[in-house]
Amino acid sequence: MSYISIKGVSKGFGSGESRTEVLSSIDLEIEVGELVAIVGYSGSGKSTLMNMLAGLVKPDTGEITVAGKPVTGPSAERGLVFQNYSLLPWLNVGENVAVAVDQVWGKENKKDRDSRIDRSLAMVNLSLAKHKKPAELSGGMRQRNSVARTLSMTPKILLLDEPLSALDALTRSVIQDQILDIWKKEQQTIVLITNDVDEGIYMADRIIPLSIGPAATFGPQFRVDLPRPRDRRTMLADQDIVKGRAEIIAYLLDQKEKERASSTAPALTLPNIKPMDISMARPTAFRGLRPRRKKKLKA
Amino acid sequence: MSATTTGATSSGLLQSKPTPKKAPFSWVKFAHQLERLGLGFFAPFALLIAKDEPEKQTRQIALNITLPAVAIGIFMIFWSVCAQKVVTDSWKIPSPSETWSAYQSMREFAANEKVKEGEFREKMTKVATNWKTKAEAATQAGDAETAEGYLKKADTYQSISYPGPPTYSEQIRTSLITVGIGFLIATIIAVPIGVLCGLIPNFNTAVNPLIQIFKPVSPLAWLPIVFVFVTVLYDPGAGAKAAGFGREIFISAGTVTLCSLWPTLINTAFGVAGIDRDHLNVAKVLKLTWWQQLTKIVLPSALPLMFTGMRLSLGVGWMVLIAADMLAQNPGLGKFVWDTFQNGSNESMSQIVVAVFTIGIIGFILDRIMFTCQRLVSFDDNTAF
Repeated sequence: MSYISIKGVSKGFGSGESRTEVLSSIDLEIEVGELVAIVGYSGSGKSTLMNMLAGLVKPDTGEITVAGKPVTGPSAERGLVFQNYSLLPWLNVGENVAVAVDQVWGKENKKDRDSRIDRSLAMVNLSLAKHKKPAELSGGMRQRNSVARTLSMTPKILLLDEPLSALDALTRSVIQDQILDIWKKEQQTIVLITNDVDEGIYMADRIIPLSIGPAATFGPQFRVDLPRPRDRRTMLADQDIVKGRAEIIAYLLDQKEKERASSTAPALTLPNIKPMDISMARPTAFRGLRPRRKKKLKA
Repeated sequence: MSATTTGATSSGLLQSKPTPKKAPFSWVKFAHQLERLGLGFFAPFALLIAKDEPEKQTRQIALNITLPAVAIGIFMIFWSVCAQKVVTDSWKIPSPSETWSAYQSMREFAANEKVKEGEFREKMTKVATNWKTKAEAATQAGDAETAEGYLKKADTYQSISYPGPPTYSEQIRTSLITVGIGFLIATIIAVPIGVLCGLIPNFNTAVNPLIQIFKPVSPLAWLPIVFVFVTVLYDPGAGAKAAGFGREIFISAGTVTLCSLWPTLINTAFGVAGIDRDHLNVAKVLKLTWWQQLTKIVLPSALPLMFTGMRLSLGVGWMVLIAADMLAQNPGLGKFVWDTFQNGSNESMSQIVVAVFTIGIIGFILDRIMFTCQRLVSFDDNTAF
């Protein structure tokens, strides 16, 4: 039995007429120390899957187990990094980490807890900004702060919910490397959710596409057998990678086509109105400034 | 970050700006802080000291002073014209100079009262000491009963309070104390209820009709009800009365409470209910207990809106207070205005205008204080240092 096991998991929201199935019979096995990337369109239920792994949301059917034990709620061993950082804006960088440290390591003395904070900030290269407020940080720094908060709990599993999608490309590549460094050192199991296939190829051992909801399921997965550390420049020259990448992208594009074809929504009809001659509504005080009437323009 | 991203290497990208733990004092930062705290008027002065574009700052200061001066000048002209035109048989709008001299005579009166009070105290102490010496003589003569009687008399004389009328500054003090009591009670009531409304939708549904109905009620309508409540619940002793805590101050303060608690209540409820879902998710992931969620996440994030509500509340409270003072006969500014109006002497109207300005200026200062508090607890700006 693998480390993380998702079996026949379905989830829907709402009830009665307005109920929509988000995920339907998802199966996934993840080994210890693996880095798995899940790619899919926004709104396809990726975050719902992540929240179920984190224990924030319970699946309607099926079961999620970690090391053989079913997931019943959040736990410090599964650290979730949020897409939008979710830092507490009234606390500074250090205090944001301290919230997690105090909660998970509350039994340790103050000195040990402080060194935990410093260590996790050092892991993401944020030690110097310890006393700054989130509002003073750039997006990349905020996400690193958020990662540091999660790392401070020393989770065995890192759940990264589109952690880099709000960042610019340069910052993104830097933080990708940082996450890989941490992964190499700390040997966690990582589930990465992303909307960028190349990010998945660069970082993950396996890439699994998610079909478009409602009732999303996994598509054919693709194993990335490139040696690490990977090189962004030469990586996409590998024939197998090119093929695999093309397959995943083709799958995702097919999904979009299908969605369009099956869409029952009526074509958007534009309102049948013509703009008024606005100059008519002008107050008489501006008569001298009035732009020329349409009629005059036609003439 | 912008300064470091230009450093071409990717590792340079990672380095955050070095922040020394204690930054040296800088007038520029101080100016930003002034602006943040709503004291923007003084910011150019700080920048001028820092020699940051001195010409621009001087121009800004000149503008900050001349523009209001022009507006005030126009207002003064308008006022002077009114003073000449608006005249009835018994009343007349006072001119600015009449108002000024009324203010001066009020100060003079207060100074005289102070002297008189001093003389009165001296006299009373003298009488009291007389009785005390008599009491001593009586004890020596072995007549303990008479001595006790004499001592009691000495105490009575010592504790007689000056019977003169309250001076203007005393009335201002009474008003401030009254609004302070009312505002404090309002906050103590409104914040917990607001938090409950924000946390528990069903509780909100339950109490919302009451809030909506009581919110628009005028202070004048609340006052009789508060009067009955205070009369039943509070029976001040002579000591409390002498210290200025008779029933009327609590009637006035209670009216202030009933009118000023709504903005705090509603804003607190909004702040708590509008908490970022992501922050709640953080709480869930960290498995915070209910109490930890409240103190570590919900209350801090609702604090800025709470203070916005408190600022509005204090503004409403100060306005209501004047009317409440008039009706409750609480010896504050409202009673001053009413009594002066009833008095109808030559100077009355001028004194009322002085009171109008006093009320306005104090209200402005109270609002500024609350604004500064509000800025201090808010976290949605990035000028903090």
